[in-house]
Amino acid sequence: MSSVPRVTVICALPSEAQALVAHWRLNAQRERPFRVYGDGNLRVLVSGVGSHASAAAVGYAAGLDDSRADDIWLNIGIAGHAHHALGTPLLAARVSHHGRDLAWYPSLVFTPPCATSALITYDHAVTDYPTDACCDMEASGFMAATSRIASGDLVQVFKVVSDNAASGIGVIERTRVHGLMQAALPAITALVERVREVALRLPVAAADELTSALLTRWHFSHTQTTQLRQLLQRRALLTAQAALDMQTLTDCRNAAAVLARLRAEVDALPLPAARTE
Amino acid sequence: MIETVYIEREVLDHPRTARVLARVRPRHVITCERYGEVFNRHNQNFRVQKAHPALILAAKHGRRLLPVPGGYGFTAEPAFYFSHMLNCLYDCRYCFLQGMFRSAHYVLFVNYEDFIADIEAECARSDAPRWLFSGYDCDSLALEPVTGFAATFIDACAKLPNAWLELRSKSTQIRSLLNRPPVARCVCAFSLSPSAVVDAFEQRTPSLAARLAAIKRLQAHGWPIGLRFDPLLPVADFEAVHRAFFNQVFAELDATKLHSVTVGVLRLPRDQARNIARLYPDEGLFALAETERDGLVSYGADTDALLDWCSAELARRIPAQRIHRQAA
Ligand code: SF4
Repeated sequence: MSSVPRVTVICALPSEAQALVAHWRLNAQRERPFRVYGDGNLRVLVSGVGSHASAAAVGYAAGLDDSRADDIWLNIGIAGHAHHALGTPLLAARVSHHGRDLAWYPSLVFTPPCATSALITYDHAVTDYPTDACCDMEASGFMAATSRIASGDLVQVFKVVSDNAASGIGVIERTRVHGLMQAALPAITALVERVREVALRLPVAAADELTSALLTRWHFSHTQTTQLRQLLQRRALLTAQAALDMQTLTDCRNAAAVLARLRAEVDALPLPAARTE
Repeated sequence: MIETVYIEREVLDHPRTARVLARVRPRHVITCERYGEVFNRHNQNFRVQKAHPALILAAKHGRRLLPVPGGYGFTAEPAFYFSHMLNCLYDCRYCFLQGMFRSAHYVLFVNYEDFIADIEAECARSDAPRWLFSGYDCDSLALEPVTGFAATFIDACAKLPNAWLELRSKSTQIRSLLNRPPVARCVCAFSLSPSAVVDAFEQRTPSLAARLAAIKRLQAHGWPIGLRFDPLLPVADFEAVHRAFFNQVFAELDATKLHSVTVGVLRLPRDQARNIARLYPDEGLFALAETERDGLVSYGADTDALLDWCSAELARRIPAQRIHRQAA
């Protein structure tokens, strides 16, 4: 795994994506079926409006590269709220779809960079704001799609309040959205950093240069290769990575003999003293 | 510090919910319908969540009192365990909870009254003693200032003449026990390991010295004390490390007043062992040789020899009939 976990951001509108693309200096990579901007570890997709579009964009992005256990998925955009001031950044703590029972709870396994809120996704723009949640048109589709492909602890929904009961939805227009997203960049970059820290807690596969050396010298079947990797990993942990003296294996006639020799050595090892002093 | 608390809608107005919130004072409070919506979802990761767990307040439905698994405890009398809480403040590398759950959030079942009703019903079935083990899926005392668990359940069990309660802990949260008279039918059982093992494998737990100091105070106060040398880990220089350890323990505590002592090696159900090894591929403990017996995996070359040696060492210090060996 790369040391920097990859982040995929799904925005509904080009005006939501613009500030992120400029801030991270991303290059346009694809036009259709979704606009994609990116560099190595960051990419932004413009899904279009609606929960189905958001879900489809997640599916499309997932197919672009091999998935990794530490992939991070963010839905970033604007939302309405009855009373929060315009420009307030909010992290969704509960996402549901209006009229349906199902709900998702993005993991708050870090200190959020802003306030949290429940969020309800609607199929249409809302002027009759719910009292205790913000409302958008994408997040439920995004959550449904990512729950099938991503680590649940690495999925977040971040919204900036673009309209409220006092303003109505008439205030939402392109430049204004761009400005709101621009102002929310500190919270967004903090969110990316914090979720990346979370992703770095996932276990990373150990390097195994020694395996290659042994694989070249003897012929190992597929099963034997797996056993060899496991034995060398165990040996490395119990001997604090002590080098393996290849001379001790030179009289082994085949892979089975190598495995038997290694297993006898590894099975007799105690927990290293260094771990317990 | 707990920043986030999820509350099942059903217990929003439960008085214990209000008490916990007043104590924790979380930054984020989120309502959910059932704790399973947040806890143990298929794509969660215990290791990731353990760094920043949330607290979930919920109601426990269904069976609350369960018969103990074979080989658990020290008594032939009817024995049950119950879990007012899932998961633990501490982070022992060998803990089976990390193999059992995908989520490290703490779930606190606030409907203590239903647990107590079940205990009363079980104890009413006959006059024979009933052992009730707490702290099976958590530590009985670690969150006591927040949960008030021990304070509530000791009182409830003390009223039942055939109820015997065991609190199982590595914690030094003993104030509520010192602020009340001891109860002869409540055993405060502490898990102990050599300092080197505490440092290497029992992250976030109180030191051995702190645990011994707490036990000593409880013993002086009159509480029955149990010692749990479980799990014994096959560390290098096992005998020297453990001889020094037993010397330290019995220099501090009055061996003649101990209620019971158990010894056991680490044993995990096969699936849990596999899950934990996957979570911690960098942990030497799970790289040790494995032996499987009756579906339980143990680690190290000769676990019987460790148990034999420790049982013999302990028998030099306490009457053999108080030493109970847990199935390897
Ligand atoms: S104290 Fe017990 S329950 Fe808590 S982490 Fe350690 S082994 Fe698990």
